[in-house]
Amino acid sequence: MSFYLQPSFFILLAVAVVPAAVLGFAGRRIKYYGFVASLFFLSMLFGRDLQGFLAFLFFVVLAFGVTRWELASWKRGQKSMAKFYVSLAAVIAPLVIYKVGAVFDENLLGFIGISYITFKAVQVVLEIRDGLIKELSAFDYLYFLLFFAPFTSGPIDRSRRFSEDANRTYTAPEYADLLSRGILLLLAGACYQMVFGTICHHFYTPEAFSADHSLLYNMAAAWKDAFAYGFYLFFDFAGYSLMAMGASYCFGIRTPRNFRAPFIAKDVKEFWDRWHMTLSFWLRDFVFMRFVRSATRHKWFKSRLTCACVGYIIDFGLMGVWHGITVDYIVYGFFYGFLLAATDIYQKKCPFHKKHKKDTWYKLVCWAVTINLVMFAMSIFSGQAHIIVAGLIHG
Amino acid sequence: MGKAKLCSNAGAPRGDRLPLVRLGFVLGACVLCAVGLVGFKLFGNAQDASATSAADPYEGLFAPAQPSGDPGQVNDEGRYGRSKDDDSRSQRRHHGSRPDESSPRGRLLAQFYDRPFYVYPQVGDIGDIEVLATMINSRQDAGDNPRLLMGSSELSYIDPMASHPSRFFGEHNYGIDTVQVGKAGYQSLWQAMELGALDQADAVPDRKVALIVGMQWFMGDGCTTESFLNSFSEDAYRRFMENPRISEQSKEVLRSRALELGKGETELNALAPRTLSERIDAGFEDFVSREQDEGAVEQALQDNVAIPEGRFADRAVPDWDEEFARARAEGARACTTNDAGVYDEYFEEYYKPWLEGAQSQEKPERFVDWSQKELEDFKLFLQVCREVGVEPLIVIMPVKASYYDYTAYDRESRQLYYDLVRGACDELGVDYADYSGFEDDTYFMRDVMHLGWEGWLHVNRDLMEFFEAGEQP
Repeated sequence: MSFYLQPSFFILLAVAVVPAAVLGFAGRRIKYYGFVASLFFLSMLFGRDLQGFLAFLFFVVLAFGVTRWELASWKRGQKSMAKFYVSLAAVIAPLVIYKVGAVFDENLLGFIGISYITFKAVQVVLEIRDGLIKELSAFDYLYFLLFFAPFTSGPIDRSRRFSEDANRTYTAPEYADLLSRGILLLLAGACYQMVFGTICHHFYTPEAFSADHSLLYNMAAAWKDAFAYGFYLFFDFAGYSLMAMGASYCFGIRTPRNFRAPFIAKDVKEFWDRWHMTLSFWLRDFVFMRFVRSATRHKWFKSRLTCACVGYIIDFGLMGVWHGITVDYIVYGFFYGFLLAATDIYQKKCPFHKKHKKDTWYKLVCWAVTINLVMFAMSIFSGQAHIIVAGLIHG
Repeated sequence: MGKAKLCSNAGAPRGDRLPLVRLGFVLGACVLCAVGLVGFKLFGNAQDASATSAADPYEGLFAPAQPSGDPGQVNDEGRYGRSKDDDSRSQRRHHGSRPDESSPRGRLLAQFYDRPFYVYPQVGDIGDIEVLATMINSRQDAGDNPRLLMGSSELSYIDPMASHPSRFFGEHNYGIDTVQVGKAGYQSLWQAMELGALDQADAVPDRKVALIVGMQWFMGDGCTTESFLNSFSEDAYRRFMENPRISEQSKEVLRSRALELGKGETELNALAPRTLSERIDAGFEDFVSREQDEGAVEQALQDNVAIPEGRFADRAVPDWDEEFARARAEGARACTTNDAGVYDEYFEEYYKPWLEGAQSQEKPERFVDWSQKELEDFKLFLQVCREVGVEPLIVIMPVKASYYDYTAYDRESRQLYYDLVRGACDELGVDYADYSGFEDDTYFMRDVMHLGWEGWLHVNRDLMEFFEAGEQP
C-alpha cells in the first residue's frame, strides 16, 4: 500500500481515526493508540516488501540503540564526544549506503521513508549533544520515528515539538477544532494532488529542441513545460503534505506545514522559506548554522558574508546529493547553492537593491526574476534540462 | 468521564462550542458527499443494468435458450464465479452447467452456453476466461469432446487446407475436436497463465492439453513487453493466482515476470490481493468499474462461427493414406510458383524477395543465444501442468530448412534450439512429439514457420492418439 494514493489507505484511515477521535474527545492521550495504529499502517506499507521491512527494522534497532547509548552518556554527565560521533555516523550510514548503492543499481539497506526517518533520528542525536534534549522516553522516541502520517515523505517534525503534542490532552472543543482542520486538510490535499496536480502534469510534455521549429518556439515550449512541471510538483507535494498534516491532526499531532505559497517569493532565499519548509529549515538548523558556527569559531573565513556563501553552497549541494547521486540532482543542488550565495551578496552589497527594495515596481521585477529562476531549477530537477542539453549535444 | 467533560461544555461560552459545530458541518458534508457518490454509483449501475435488459444487444444472435440437464447445479457466483467443489475434480462431468440467467452476466454467459463458438474468434481474443469455460463446458455437455490445443500463429487458417484441425476435426466426427487457444505473438508465459486460469475455471477437458511450440518464441529475449501487454488478460492473471493447485513458487514466477514485462505492481496486487489493503483496493476497484469490460466479449459474439454440422455425424475413422494424398494435392495446388512448398501469396510477398536478398549477401553469424527467459517461461508452463494435474503433449514444430539455412538460425543453431526444448521436456518428464526431422519435407510447413498441409496431418494423428489414449474406442 502506498500512503495517500490508494483507496485502501483512505478507507483504513477513516476507520483508524474513529478510536483516535473517541480518545481525543474523552480528553485522553491518543499516543498509545496512535502508536498501535502506526504499527498497523507501517505493516500495510511494507506489505509484501520483506526486504524493505527488514532494512527498516535494522534501522530502527540501530537508531534506538545508539540514541539511548548517547543519551545515557549525557545524562550521566559523561558527555562522550566519541559516543556522539559514533551515534551520528550510525544513524546516517544506512541512508548514505543506500544512496551510494543506488548509483550502482543496488538496493542496500533501502526502505520506503528512509530519508525522513533519518532526518528525525539525526535531529535527536544532534540535540542530545547540544543538551537540548535532556529526557526522551523510549516510547516517545519510537513513536516519533514511527508515527505513520508523515512517515514516507515528511513533513519533517522535530522530536521536542512532537512529544509535547503526543503527551498532551485536548479539551473537546480543542480536539474538535483539530479534527475538523485535519479532515479539511485531508480533503484539500487530496484535491491539490489528484485534481490540480493531475491537470498540471497533463501539460508537462518535455522534448528536446526540434529543428522543425524556430528557436523562439522551442524556448517557449520549454518554458511552458518547466512551469507545468513546477506547478505539478507543487500541487503534488504540497497536496501530499497537507494530507499528512491532516492525518496527523486527527491523531492530535500538529505536524508543521511544508509549503506557504512558494511562488509568490520575491527572491530565492524567500522561496526556500516557503518551499519544502521542513527540509530547508532542517538543513538550515543542522547543516548551515552548524557550519557557520564552526567556521566562525575556527576563523576559517575573513568575512561573515563569505562564510554564509560557502554555507549556502554546502547546504544546498547536500540537498541536491540527498535527492539522489545523479548529475541532474547534483547540478540542481549546487545551482541553488550558488544562487542563494549570489542573492546574499547582491542584497548585502548592492546599493540599488537597498534603495529600491520597498518599491512596488522593484518587487514585481524581483518576483518575475525569482519565479523564472525557480522554474529553471525545476527543469533541472525534472530532467527536462537534461533532455534538452542532450538533444543539443547529439544534434 | 469523557461524557462528563463533553456535557460540562454545555454551560461554556458560545465561542467554546463553535469548534464542535464546525466539526459537525465538516463531518456532515463528508457523509453527504460519500452517500451521494455511492448512491450515484449504485443508481448509475441500476440504470445500466436495466438498459441492458431492455435492449439486449445479444438478442437475436442466438436461438432461444434450451436449458439442458439439471438446473439445480447451476454455476453462477457473479462476475468471478468459480466452482467450489474442487475436491471432485478427477471425475468432472459438466452436465447441467448452463449459467443461471438471473443476472445480466448470467444471461450473457447463457448465450455462449447455447451457441459455443467454433474456431473464430481465435480464443486468444477472449480475455474473459469464464466465457471460454462456459463454451467448453457447453460442448462437453453436448458430448462434443473438445480438447485444448494451445499454440500461436499456426492456429490461424489459410485456404485450402483440409488438414487444419479446425476442419479436420470439425468437419468429421473422429471422436474429439480441438478448442484452439492462442494466436500470433502469444508465447510460453501467456500459455502458462491461460492454462492455469482455464484449470481454475474447470475448463481443461480430460485433464490434457497439447501445446505447439514455435522456434520464434525463443529468439531475442523471449517474450517482448509489447506482446505481453497486448496479450495480457486480467481475468486470466486473477484466476491463475486464485488457483489453489498452483504453487506459491510458480505464482511468484508469473508475478515477477509480469512486473519485468511492464505490468504495474499496484495493478497486479489489486488483481491478486494478499494483504488487507490490497483486498480493500481490489474491492474498491470492483465497485467502481463493475460491468464495464464486456467490449471484447461483444466483439467475440460478432465474430461467431457456428460449429460445423460434421461434428454431429456418425463416428468415423480417418483414412490416413487418403488424407495424405489429399494434403499433397492441396499443397501442390497452393504452391504453383515454387518448389519449396511455400504457398504462392507468401512466396511472392515475402519469401522470394527475401531469398534473393539473402543469397546475394554473406551468411550472418550463427545464432546460439536462444532465450533463457523464454525457456524459463516454457518450464513454467510445464510446471503448472504438473501442479494442476494436467497431462501435456508438447508438439515441437519444425521450420522450413530451405529458408532458415540462409539465416543466422542454420542447422546447427536450430539443433541447439530443439535440444533446449527437448531438454526441458525431459527434465520435467513430459512427452513430446518431435517434428524437427521434417524440416526438409516440402508440404510439411505451409511457409517458413507455420504448419502446413502434411504437417497438420502428422500432428492430428498425434493429437488423436494422445487425447484418445485410455478412452474406450
